[in-house]
Amino acid sequence: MTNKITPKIAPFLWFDGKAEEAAKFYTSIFRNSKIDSISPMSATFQLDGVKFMALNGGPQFKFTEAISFFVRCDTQEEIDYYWERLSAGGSEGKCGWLKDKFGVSWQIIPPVLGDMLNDDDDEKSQRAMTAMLQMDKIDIAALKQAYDNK
Amino acid sequence: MMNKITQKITPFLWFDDKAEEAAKFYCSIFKNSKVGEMTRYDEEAAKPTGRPAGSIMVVEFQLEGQEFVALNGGPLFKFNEAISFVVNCETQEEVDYFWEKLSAGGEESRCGWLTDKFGLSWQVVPIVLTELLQDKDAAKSQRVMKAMLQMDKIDVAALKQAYDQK
Repeated sequence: MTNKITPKIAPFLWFDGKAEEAAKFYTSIFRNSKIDSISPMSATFQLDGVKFMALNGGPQFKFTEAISFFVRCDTQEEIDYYWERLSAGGSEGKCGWLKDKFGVSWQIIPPVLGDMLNDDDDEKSQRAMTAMLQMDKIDIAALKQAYDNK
Repeated sequence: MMNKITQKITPFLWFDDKAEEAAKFYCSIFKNSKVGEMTRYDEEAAKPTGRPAGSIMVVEFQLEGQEFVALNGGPLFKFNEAISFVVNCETQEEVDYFWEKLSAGGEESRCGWLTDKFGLSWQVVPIVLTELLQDKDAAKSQRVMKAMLQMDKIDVAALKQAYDQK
């Protein structure tokens, strides 16, 4: 995505003074990322093709889990990478959820999890679900093991 | 699977129990939109959330080609203004359209912000506003900012008037 193309819908994050620090943190983690603009009041940046806007709006609003960002990871290596980087200084949650050091919630999820949970074989999908509910960081090998019941 | 998510990063919205209704509402407003795959709760997943087994758990949908996921997660979390979605509008007609449609049953707020009937915050913003606010002439951009701060729905003509100080 170039600068010129404005996506119709852009997530907008309200920070209390840390918009620039957050823009730098996120763009240091995601590939195909860059900061488009920085001012004392706001920042705009792109993470893997998604354009974000960040505002230093003051302390009125805190991030909640009501809106999180789902990061699709094809391999365990990718899961490990994003899990470690995004949760640094923040906190690890359950079922692939984490909070970064600014309080924004992320979910680090392999698409294969959705495939397993949607399997027509209810027993297989339930075993995958049971395994997933016990995990913090998602472990693809353990999911597959539960799914196959090996 | 046809509607598999392909974006690296996808906004994920936690609803109490209105994920499907919300996805359909948003898809009725935005172009190039569609409701994708829906996943239902099985017994195991239903337990910790208190949602009924067999009811819809996750709805995937696309707005203007961008992917979103909605969850019926129960009443644990509420939307607030910490994360909103900006709708970039080319014209006043577009501003009017999205302002009216998205705020229906919700609440209009200040400076282009609104809360929809599900509690999600949107900013309906003409692209030209950003350009005017970033003008090298500080006096001009300040006049635009001042005009904008008085508005609920953004009025492009009034912004341009303030910019030109006619």
